[in-house]
Amino acid sequence: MTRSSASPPFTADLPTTVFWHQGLPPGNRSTSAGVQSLMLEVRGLTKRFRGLTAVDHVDFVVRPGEIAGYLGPNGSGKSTTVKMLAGLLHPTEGTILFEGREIRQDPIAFKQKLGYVPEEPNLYGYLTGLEYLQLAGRLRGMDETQVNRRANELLELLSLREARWGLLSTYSKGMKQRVLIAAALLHDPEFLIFDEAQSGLDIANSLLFRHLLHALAARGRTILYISHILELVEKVCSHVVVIYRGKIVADDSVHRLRELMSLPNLEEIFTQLVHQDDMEARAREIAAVIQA
Amino acid sequence: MISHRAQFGELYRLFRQRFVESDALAPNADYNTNLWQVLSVLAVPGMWASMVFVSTLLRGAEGMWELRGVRVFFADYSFAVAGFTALFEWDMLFPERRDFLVLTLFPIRMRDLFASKIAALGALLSVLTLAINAGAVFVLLLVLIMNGHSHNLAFLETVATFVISSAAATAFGFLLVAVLQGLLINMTSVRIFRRISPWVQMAGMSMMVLSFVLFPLFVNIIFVAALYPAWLWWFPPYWFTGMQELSDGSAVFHSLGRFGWEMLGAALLAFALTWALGFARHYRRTLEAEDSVSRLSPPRDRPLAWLLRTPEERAVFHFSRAIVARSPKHRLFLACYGSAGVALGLVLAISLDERGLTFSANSLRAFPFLMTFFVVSGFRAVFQFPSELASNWAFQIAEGRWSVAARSAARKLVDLGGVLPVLMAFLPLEIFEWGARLGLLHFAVQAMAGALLTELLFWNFDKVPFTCSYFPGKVNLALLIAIYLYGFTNYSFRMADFEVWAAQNPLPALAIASGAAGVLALLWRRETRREAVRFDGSEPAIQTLELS
Repeated sequence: MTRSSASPPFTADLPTTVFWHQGLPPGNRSTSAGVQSLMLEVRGLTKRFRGLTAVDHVDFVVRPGEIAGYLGPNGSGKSTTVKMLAGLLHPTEGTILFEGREIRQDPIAFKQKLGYVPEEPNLYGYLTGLEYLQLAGRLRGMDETQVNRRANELLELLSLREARWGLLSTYSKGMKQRVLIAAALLHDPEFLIFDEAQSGLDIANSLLFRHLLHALAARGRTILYISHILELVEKVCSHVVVIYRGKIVADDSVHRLRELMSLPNLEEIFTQLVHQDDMEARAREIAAVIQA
Repeated sequence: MISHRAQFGELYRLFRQRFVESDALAPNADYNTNLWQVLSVLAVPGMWASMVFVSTLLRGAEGMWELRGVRVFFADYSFAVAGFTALFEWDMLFPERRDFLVLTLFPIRMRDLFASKIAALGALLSVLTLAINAGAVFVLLLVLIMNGHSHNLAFLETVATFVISSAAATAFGFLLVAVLQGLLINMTSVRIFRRISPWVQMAGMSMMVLSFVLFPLFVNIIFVAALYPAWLWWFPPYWFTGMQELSDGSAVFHSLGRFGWEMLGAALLAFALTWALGFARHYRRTLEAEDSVSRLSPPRDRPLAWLLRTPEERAVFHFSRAIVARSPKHRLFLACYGSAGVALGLVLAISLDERGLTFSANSLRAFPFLMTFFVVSGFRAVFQFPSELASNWAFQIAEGRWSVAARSAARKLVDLGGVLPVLMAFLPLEIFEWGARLGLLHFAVQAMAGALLTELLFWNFDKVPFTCSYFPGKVNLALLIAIYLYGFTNYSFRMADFEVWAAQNPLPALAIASGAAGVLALLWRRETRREAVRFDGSEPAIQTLELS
C-alpha cells in the first residue's frame, strides 16, 4: 500500500473525523501516473433513490493485492456502494474504474474478473450446493472438467462435502455463505468483494475465512471487505474506508487513523467517526423498559 | 472465453426449472413427480372430449350443434388451463428479483438473458399444449387406426383442425396473460407492479376458473348463437371453435375463425412488443427498486378483545389474520376456492335453453350455503399451506396451550373473516328478494349453519394455521372429497329446503333453530385436549396429493 506524505485535511462538517483520502485528489487522478497502480478507483459515486441520497459523491481507491475494509453503520450506504460496484445498481452520478477502464464500457469483461459474496444469500433453493457451483462455473464459461474439479475441492475444503447433494433450501445460513464464497472463488477472480461474508460462519470457518483473505491477498488478489466485525477488519485490512450517511469520513490505514485520532483501536475510532450514541446508557434503558 | 451458446443453454434450463419450483405446488416435494401428475391430469378431459367429438362427428350434419358444443368445451378448457397456468406462474413469467440478483453477478449479455427466458416460456407453452392435447390425440389416433379413417382426408382434416384450434386456444390463453404482464410492466413502476400483481393474479385466476366451470352454459352454442350472438365475439373459445369451420362452416363461424387467427396474431405481436420494450427496463428497475417498507394502518383489535380470551388465542388469531390479509399466495388460494364456488353456484342456478337464461329459485336459495361451504373448506385448506415455515419457532418456543388456542382462534377467524362477509354480501339480495324480515331470518339461518359447518370441519384441527408443512395425505384427501360431494349435493340444497320449510312451519323451525343455537353454544365452549399442537419438525412430511 502506498501512502501520500501530505497532512490529512479536516472537514468543517465532520468535526471529530479524519477525512483523509489515501488516493489521489479528485480531478487529478485519471491523468496521474499513480492510476496505473490502481485496481479500483471510485470517483464521485452517487446514488439517489426517489430523492434520498444513499451514497453521496464517494471517492476511494483500492490497489492491487490490497485488502481494503469498507465500514459504516447500518444504512450508511455500504451495500449500495457495493451493489454499484457489482453492477446490481446503476450509479446516479460518478464513475467506477477497474484497471483504469470504466466498468460500464465493458461490464461483461469486468464481471469475468469479479468475485462477489453478497450480504443476502440469494440462491436458488431447489439446486444443491454442487449444482449451484456448476451453474456459476458454466455461466462464467469455465471448462466442465475444471468446474467439477474446483467445485468439489472447494466444497471439501469449506467442509461442505457431505452436504453438496443437499438442496440449498435446507442449508443453514453459514452453509449458504460458504457456498457463496466458493462460487465467488471458483473462477479465480482478480478482484473480490466480500459483503458481510463471515456472517453466519462458525468460529472455525471464520478463522478459515480470515486466513483465506490473507492467502488471496498474498497471491495478488484485490479484496474489498465489508464487515461489522471491527476486530477482524483491524487484523486483516491494510486500509479502511469509513462511510457515514452516504459520505466518506475516513480513508487510511488503521495504524494511521489510530495515530491521527489518538485512539487505541478501530472500534473507538469507528464510534467517534460515526457519532454512535452511548451504547451502555441505551442498553441500561432497554433493561429498564422490560422491567417496567 | 465465454460461449454464449452454452450460457444460453444453461439459462434456458434454469428458467425452465423455475416454472416447477413454485412452493405452492408442494414445498420440498419432487418437482418432476408434481409435473407429471399435473400433466397427466390435464390430458384426461381431452380423452373424454375427443371420444364425444368422434361420436358426434360420425352422426354427420344432424349432430353439428353438439359437435360445436364439444369444440367449445375443449377450446374453453384449453384456454382456461393455459390462462390459469400463466397466472399461476405470474411471478416466473418475467425473470423475478431473485433471478436478477443472482444472474447479474455473472458475465451475461442482456440479449442472452432475454432469449433464454423466451425459449423457456416457449417450452412451458409447448409442454402445456402437448399435455392438454395428448389424451385427445391418443383417442383420435386410435379411432383413425381402428376404424380405417386414415384414408379419409376429410376426417383427417377435421381431426387436425380440432387439435390445431385447441393449440391456438392454449397459446391465446397463455399469451393473453403474458401480454397483460408486459403492458403492466411497461406502464407502471416496479413498486406499483408488485403491489397490483397479486390482485391481477387473483382476479385473472377467478376469471379463468369461472370461464371453465361455466362451460355448461357456453356449450349450448345453438341457443347462444340464436339468442345472444354478441357472446360469440366476446368469449375467445367461440373463436377457436370457428377456426375448425374455416373451410366448411357457416358465415358466422367462418368469421369467428378468421377473427380467432387475427386475435392470436395480435396477441403474439403485442407479446413481442411489450416484452421487447419492457425487458431491459424491468431488469434495471427491479434491481433499482428499494425494498419498500409497507406502512400499514394499526389494526383495530379492541372490538375483538372480548372474543379472544387468552393471549395465545389472540396471538394465533392476529397472526393468521395478517397472513390471510397480506400473503398473496394464500389469498390466491382462497380466491380459487371462492371463484369455484361462485362458478358452481351460477352453473346450478342459471340455465340456458330456448327461453334464454333462466334462473332456478331453489338453486339461488342454495347459493349462500354453497358459498359458505366453499369459504369454510377453503380456509381449512389454506391453513395447511405454510407461510415462512422457518419462523414457526416463535410459537414453538413459547409455552402455550396452542392446541386449544389454535383451533379456537382458527374457527373464529373463519366465522368472522369468511362466513360473515360472504353472508353480508348476500344479505342485500336476500332482502331485495324476500323482504327485510325473511331476508334477515335467512341470514340468521345461514350464519348458524355456517358456524356449525365451521365447527364440524375444524373438529380436530390441531395446528397453528400456516406454521406446519403437512399437506393432507391420501386418507385426508379421500375424506375431503367425500365431504365435498356431500357439500355439493346435500348441504346447500338441504339447507335451502329447510329455509322453505321453515317459512311454512315457523314454530317447529324456531324449535330446531333454538336447538341448533344451543348446540353451537356448547360447541363454542368445547375444550379440546391439551395435547401438544403439531408443528413442522421431525415427522414425515406428506406433501404430495398422490393423485394416482
